[in-house]
Amino acid sequence: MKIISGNEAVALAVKLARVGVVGIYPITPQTTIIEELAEMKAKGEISTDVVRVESEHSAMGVTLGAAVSGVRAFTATSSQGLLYMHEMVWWAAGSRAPIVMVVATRAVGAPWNIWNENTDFMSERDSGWIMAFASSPQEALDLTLQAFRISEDPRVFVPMMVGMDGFILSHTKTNVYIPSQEDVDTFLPPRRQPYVIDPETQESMGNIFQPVHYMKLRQSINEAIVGAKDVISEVGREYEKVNPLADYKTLNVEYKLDDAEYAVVTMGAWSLDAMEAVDRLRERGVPVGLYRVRYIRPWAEEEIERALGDKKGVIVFDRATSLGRGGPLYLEMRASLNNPVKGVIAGLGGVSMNKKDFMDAISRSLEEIRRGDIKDVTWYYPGEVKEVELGTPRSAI
Amino acid sequence: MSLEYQFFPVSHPSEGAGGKTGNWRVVRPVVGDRCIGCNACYLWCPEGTIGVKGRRAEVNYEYCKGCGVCANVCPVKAISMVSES
Amino acid sequence: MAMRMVGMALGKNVAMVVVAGCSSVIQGIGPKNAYGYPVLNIAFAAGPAAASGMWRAFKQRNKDVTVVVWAGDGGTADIGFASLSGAAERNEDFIYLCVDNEAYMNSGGQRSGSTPHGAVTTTTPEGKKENKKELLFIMLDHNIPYAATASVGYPHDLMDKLRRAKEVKGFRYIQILTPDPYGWLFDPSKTAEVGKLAVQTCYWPLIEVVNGKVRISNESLHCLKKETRRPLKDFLSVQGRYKKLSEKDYEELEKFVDDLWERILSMIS
Repeated sequence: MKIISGNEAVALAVKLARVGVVGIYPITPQTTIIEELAEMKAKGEISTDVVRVESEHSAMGVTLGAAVSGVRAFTATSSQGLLYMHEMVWWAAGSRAPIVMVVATRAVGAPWNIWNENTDFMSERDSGWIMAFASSPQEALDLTLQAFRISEDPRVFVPMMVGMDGFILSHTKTNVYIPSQEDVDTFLPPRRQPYVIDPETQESMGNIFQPVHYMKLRQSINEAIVGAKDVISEVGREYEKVNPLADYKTLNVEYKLDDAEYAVVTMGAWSLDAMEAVDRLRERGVPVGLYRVRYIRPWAEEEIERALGDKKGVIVFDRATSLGRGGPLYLEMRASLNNPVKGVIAGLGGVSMNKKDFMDAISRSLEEIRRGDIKDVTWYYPGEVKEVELGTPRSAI
Repeated sequence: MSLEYQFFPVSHPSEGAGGKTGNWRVVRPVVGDRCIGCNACYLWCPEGTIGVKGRRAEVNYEYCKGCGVCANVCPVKAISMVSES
Repeated sequence: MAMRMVGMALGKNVAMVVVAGCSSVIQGIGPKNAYGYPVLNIAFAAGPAAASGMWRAFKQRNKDVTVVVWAGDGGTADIGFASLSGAAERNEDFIYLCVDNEAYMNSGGQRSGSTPHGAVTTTTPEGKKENKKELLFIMLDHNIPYAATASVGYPHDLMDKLRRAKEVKGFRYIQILTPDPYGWLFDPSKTAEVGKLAVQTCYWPLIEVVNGKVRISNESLHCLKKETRRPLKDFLSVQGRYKKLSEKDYEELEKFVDDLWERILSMIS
């Protein structure tokens, strides 16, 4: 056990995975991952080639170029950086190159905002990556290590990104179990990938394909992502040998759901505050439990139906938006469930939500569900925020 | 477990992957007796469809588009462009 | 054609990165490929970055492979420029080939940063108002160990340069002028001649700078003196894209050539 931040935990995972090449570019709040890697390199602790590129677009370019040429490759980014990299994120998925990326989430401008929000991460849902989201520095380390194994599995061969809440996880230090190098070496087989760009193989990647072949290739990614559910559970069980305290048998995580009539759905670090709120509400006799989404892609449809399908109501908290429609998690849940689903958007741009705020938001939502009158998605501002007066002109000619 | 669903955007070297382009031609290069086998045509041909075999240049009419660069660069004017029709 | 020269000059142990452009199309339709090299096709702006990752991966795997980026002038002067500049500044160990046909020819001939003054393109129907971006000098300002220009009009010169570039370690930049009959509007059979005229009229220099040492190819030596240069109009008049060139535009282009050689002269002395 070591007291470290989420970013330090991720850097350690990269070291333990014996990554060949990392393309790095600074952006808050991910920067300390790459600083840590550069530090390790300077001290000679890793043989990883650390490439300090000139943009996130190139960070993924370097990472992808190395990955298709036969080595394990990693990068990390946040917010504007992820959006600037967007084109290459898709190119990596289409290339079917096993790559691991960590996203320390942060709100997207304009206006400037460095605080936490998950919209950046969630905006890559359609790109063709496996996507997991951590709720603690420990999980950030565990998921990063598992990501190499999952993305390099021949049944998958799809890149994988791991999200974690900016600052709240990336910079907050907690107790983290650091696996031994020996255990990780046993857990992670040597690099596997579907093809290698190399004069020996003479294989090329990415020239033009016929429309029907293109469609078949896209379907193949889709099937690989859906099929990855089994691989993720299998790797999760296997991972218990690396970290005996870990539980990754299922994609998502249930908390006091068995006897609950209502469920709260969350993702990421604030799940812990929500869990405390659930505890307090249960003390008051409210039959509520919590379901934490860990995997966005693949989407654990069956797990979700089993866990939430019989609840009288499901309240989904999103720290992200699909503006004009609601939170992405809420939309996904509504597509999976036939029972009443209430969406709440909260905590954008760094607005903090504590246990009391969750209790309040959950109670209000429960009232709507019980009345059978679920209103539109609620934009929830915590109790301490009395009134928001921006003081900017409301109209301009 | 069957991996039949797995496809990758990978291609392998293959002659004529760009499609047979010979039917684009309106004029064809014909190598005459004056050819000295200097390979200038080979060097300049944009398609790689002409080259010296033995002592004389030969054209691969399956892929030659009939652009006429070879006839122009030939130092001894051994190549003439002849109408296809 | 330039691709074949790469093959003849660089040998078998080559891996290529091809960015969006004609060359991503002429490889043909997957799963077949018309190139005799392993190719990583990649997004327009990502060539130099991907090549940076590639050669490092080969190094990690103890493999001696020459990595070559193949990009057009749009991918070099415009959208890929940040990535190119970054890789050059890091002195990444690969060869960057800019195949300069002076416009976005693959999408039908739109103006690029490398289109010369006065040239008509589909997005400058009145003729381009600005001068061509001086890529060679910009790249030299990155202090790279090898930079050169070549023309498909002189294949031996190009191959010599490729062979020499192969022996240099670090970032190597070669810009190849490749006249495009459909964009420059001349008869396709004249491609080699137009490539030569560009050099003879001194519009396009054949030079090479190895670790700061300038070498001018024999074909371009006459350009050092203004009097011995062939008139620029001999190059311009064979192309339809200069049909709207005014007297003033012509003077502008002549000045561009004069300035170019003055700068090269100052590098020698």
